[in-house]
Amino acid sequence: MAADQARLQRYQELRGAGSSTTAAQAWRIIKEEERAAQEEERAAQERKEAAAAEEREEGKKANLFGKLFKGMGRGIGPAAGYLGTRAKAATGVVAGAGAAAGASAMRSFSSPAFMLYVGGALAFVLLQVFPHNTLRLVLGTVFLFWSAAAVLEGRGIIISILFFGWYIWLGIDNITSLYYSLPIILLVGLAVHGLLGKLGKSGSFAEGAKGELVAGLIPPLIFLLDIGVLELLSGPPVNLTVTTTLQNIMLYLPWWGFFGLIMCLKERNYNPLVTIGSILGVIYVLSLFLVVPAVSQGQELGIAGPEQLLKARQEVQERLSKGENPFISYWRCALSGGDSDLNECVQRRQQESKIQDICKRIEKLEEGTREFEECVEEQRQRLLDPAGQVTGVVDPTIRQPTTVELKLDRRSFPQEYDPQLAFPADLKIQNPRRQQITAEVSCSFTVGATVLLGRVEPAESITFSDPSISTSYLCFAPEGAALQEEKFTIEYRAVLRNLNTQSRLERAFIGDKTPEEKENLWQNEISRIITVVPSQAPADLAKINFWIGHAAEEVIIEDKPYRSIAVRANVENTGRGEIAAIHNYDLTMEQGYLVASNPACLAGAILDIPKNTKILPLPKCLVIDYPAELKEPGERKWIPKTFIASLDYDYSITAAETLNFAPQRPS
Amino acid sequence: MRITLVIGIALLLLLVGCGGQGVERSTAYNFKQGITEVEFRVLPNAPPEQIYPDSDFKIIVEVDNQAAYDALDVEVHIVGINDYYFLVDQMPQQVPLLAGRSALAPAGEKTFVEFDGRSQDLFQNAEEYNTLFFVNGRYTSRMDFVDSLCINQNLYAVYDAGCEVEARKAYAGQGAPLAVTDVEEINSREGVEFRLHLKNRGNGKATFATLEGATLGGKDIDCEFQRSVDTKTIQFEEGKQEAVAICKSAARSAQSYVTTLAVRFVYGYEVRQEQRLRLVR
Repeated sequence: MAADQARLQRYQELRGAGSSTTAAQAWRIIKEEERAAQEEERAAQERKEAAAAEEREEGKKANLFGKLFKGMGRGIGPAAGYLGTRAKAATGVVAGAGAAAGASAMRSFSSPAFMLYVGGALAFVLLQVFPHNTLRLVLGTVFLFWSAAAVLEGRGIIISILFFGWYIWLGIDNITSLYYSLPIILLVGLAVHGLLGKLGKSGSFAEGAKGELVAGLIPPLIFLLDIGVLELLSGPPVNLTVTTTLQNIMLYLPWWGFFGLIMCLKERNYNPLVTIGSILGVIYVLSLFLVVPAVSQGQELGIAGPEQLLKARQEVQERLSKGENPFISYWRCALSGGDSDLNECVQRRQQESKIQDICKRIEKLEEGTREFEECVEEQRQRLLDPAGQVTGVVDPTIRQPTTVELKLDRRSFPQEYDPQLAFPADLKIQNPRRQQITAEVSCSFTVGATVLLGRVEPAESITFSDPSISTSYLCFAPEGAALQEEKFTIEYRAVLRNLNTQSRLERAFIGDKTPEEKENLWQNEISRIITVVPSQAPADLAKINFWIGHAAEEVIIEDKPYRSIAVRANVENTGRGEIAAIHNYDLTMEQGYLVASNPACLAGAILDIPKNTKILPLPKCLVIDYPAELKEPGERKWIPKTFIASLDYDYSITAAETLNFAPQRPS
Repeated sequence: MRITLVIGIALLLLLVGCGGQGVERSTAYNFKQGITEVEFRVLPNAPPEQIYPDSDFKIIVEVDNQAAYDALDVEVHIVGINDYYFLVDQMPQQVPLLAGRSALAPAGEKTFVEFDGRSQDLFQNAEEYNTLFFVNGRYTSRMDFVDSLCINQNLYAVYDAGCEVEARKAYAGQGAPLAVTDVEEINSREGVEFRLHLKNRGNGKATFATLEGATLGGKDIDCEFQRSVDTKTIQFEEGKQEAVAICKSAARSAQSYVTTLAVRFVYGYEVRQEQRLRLVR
């Protein structure tokens, strides 16, 4: 009705006084005007719809977190621009350029990847100063969701949530169940993300699911690496060989920062802060690898839950002597310019800092004291000894090593002092080779500086050859011990006697061959059969690392008068306790098989072993004679030989807990 | 009864007919072509796939001469077995002669050599020991190159209606792993020169080759290896398994003619077979 009236009014305007427009012309004009108006209206509607669709698309990419950071970016961007403008006005063109760079840098904070990079790096520094497990877990969790939600724009968020719920909330204590849970997590993650994408009309089901699959696994993987999966793999039962590079990666790689850096580079975010940060990051990561070439041995995966991972990280950090950060060593050497060989300088700095760390952190000696200097000198001698540098690897064919675990039953400890109440502990021994082992257990109480021997029940030592044994002990405080008066430490000590661990080493005897013949044999046959160069031993409590030949890495032994055959060996404490005594070490194979320049090099005993000994070098020697058949293999061209080193030893392990029964004074 | 007899005779005739045809085919077949060689194969289950500690086992190697020539002084060695885990007879097994494929023995001659072994204990409580070892075979044999070639020393005889010289001719092999793969022919007024390209096309390694003799049209001609100290013998290296033998003959006719070039080589050959041994608990 209103339209008709408007049309009539317009008609009258066109046909008004003085107008030459005919009635037909007037109606044609009105129709054309109406058509134009309709088209304009349609175009406006289309623009509106397009804007709405774009908004939805953005909504798909950025979830709640994404929007939040986008909002932050919007806020920071103008603020930075404002700063830039003010600065430009105040200090002219040069200062303005600097301010523009600053503004650009500030804007880079709107990039979640850059924030992760900076945050990851800062968290890494923080954790180096305060190595606290809870803090690491909290930061790891924040970064996990930050990465999934903001950096990856929500593409992996469902899988990350499911992983977190499964791993942390449900308190999974064995990550091997991930094998079974992972497909379910993936399927649910893909389905949920796909459905959300479809329902939100922000893409097809497949697009949403694909995005989730591609990005979803990255944050959980980095989370595991950050909280200590590598550290756990370095211990039993996997026993990943901890090489220098692996050690550097474990101790010094800021995983989250590294991930943020990669994402920054992927985003092509090249503002000055990102560029400088990226260059520094790349140099830092490279320097971790540059120090010593890596030789690691991959093993099967069989690892535990978050507590174990964090504990494993802590244990490895405690077990490994922690040297100077390789990045600092590298650049100090590079900038000092005093050394012609950069690598040698880095290694020297690393070695020296590790020696200092052993004496400071492990031996708990005060820097500057005479004891500290003696310790440094002793450690230096030990590290510089060529026998001390021999390394061995865990034999992957022996999946059940001899292990011992002494665990205090903290939950069953008395809650208040009562001389009749005992402190229980459990001793678990895995003895897969059915050795005849004797176990002796004792306990003590340390109150202040006084050490009091406790009474253990059962008091008798046990001798067994069972493949697995678990036994409980009770420790009673001695009469008159004033445990109720102040803080005290209870310590259990178990000594296992008559342990034996053997190591094996494979070498190839080729006689006297030309260099070409030797090379052909190595290429075509020997290198295909002898694939592990160092000695191999089960992941027991201690082992002999050794090599026989012309050099550590040389598998082939030639019979040439000018090439000496050396024997280098050490005993490595690979457990968490102490080697109490070495009753016998034996590399002779059989009587007279190898004739050495120093018989003590092939067999002997060491009963007095310094405390905290991780590596004990054995005497060195040269082989002056060996069987004739190995000197001249004849038609066989070469002979593979397995050498066995046998170690008979006692091993002690302790477990301690500090308690306080003293009544709390009112404050 | 009569029908059965007729059918029986017909079947007999058919069988005899088939057999006769086969014999005819093998006598007509030229064995001295292609690349064939002495094959060394470890029999399945000897050694068994899994060996238990303290048990006896055998390694049986089938030696099958598929080449067109007899193999002499055949030796089989077992190499690379670690005596900490396995005690295996280390003496090489020898076969003095293994006849090659011919009209009389179209399948070639084969034999089996055995090595006795005994497994030891595994190292400590290891679950298994998995290793490789090699069966190395070596032998001496010969190879004949024979072909009819056109020789024309009158290079400008445009109206010579005889044969046409092929400057380079390729060959697929002479029934041995070592093969003459190309022959270059260079004619001049002084005579003709043949360059025989000898290559190892088998699965092993040729150790040496010796020129035993060469004839052109039944008459001896002089042949020698290029770039060799001893011109009649060449020692092959690991990465270079080829040689060139040059044979020369003086001019015999002004007209072109087709004649037979025959060159005999004696060579040494080695074959390596990779095998696996698995000691399990």
